[in-house]
Amino acid sequence: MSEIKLSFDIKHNDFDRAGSASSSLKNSLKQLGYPPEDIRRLAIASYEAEMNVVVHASDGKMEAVITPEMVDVWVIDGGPGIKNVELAMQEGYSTAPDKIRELGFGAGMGLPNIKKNSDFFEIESKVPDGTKVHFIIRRKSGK
Amino acid sequence: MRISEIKEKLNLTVVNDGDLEFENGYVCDLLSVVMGKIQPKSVWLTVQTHKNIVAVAKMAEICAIIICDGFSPDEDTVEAAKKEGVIIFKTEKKSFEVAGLLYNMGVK
Ligand SMILES: Nc1ncnc2c1ncn2[C@@H]1O[C@H](COP(=O)(O)OP(=O)(O)OP(=O)(O)O)[C@@H](O)[C@H]1O
Ligand SMILES: [Mg+2]
Repeated sequence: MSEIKLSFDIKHNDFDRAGSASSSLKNSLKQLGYPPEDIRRLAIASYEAEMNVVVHASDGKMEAVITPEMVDVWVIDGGPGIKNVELAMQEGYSTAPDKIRELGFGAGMGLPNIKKNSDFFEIESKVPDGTKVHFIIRRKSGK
Repeated sequence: MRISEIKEKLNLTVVNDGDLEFENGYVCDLLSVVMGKIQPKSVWLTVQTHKNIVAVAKMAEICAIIICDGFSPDEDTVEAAKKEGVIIFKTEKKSFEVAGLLYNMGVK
């Protein structure tokens, strides 16, 4: 394995398909023999990033580059962007509407979870253009 | 401990059956709190019933979902669980009671 590039569409507000990009990415890592702990970190981080596009943004995509050493993931959407990224990063901060909170989203833990589970994390956002979340999961063991 | 053991002892209703070895338990209805805090090899007690609980279970490698307090999963939740192989039970018992019973059985 040298380098594998994957790309998945994410549909805003489509709770039916929500999670399918992360699920596909997770399956790819499994097939490539990544260690379970790394796969779990990747799955949690990518699911949170994907759900943020489904819940808060517009249509977007998830792009991943997998090498034997690490997985690089970008989750990109087309707006409306985040006004105050520092605030959005705080645990418990959420602008999720009531309807979505009823489904169990909106704890304000998604972005902190991505940061916690990844080895590198950066978020870039511009109103109204969109948000780009980039994180890396390094393979820890079992090479 | 085996999932089949708690199914029997707690008299859980099967939504999508299966059996796995598990170690821990966690109770919460906020999905990203679950994702952030649940340990691997856990059973998850919740009152959420919609399809996204299957995705959460799959992503966080949760061994089984127990839907408590008499709630029932949506139809497409059941479908998704069958497709993804996620074990789900339901029960009339309250989350608090189920957690207590599991705790007394040695699940931490
Ligand atoms: N892709 C995005 N586009 C626009 N706003 C976003 C995006 N991602 C996050 N946000 C903003 O940042 C806030 C915090 O995000 P975070 O994922 O931490 O929590 P949440 O999505 O509200 O709830 P949870 O993830 O716990 O279900 C969101 O409520 C939203 O206001
Ligand atoms: Mg979120």
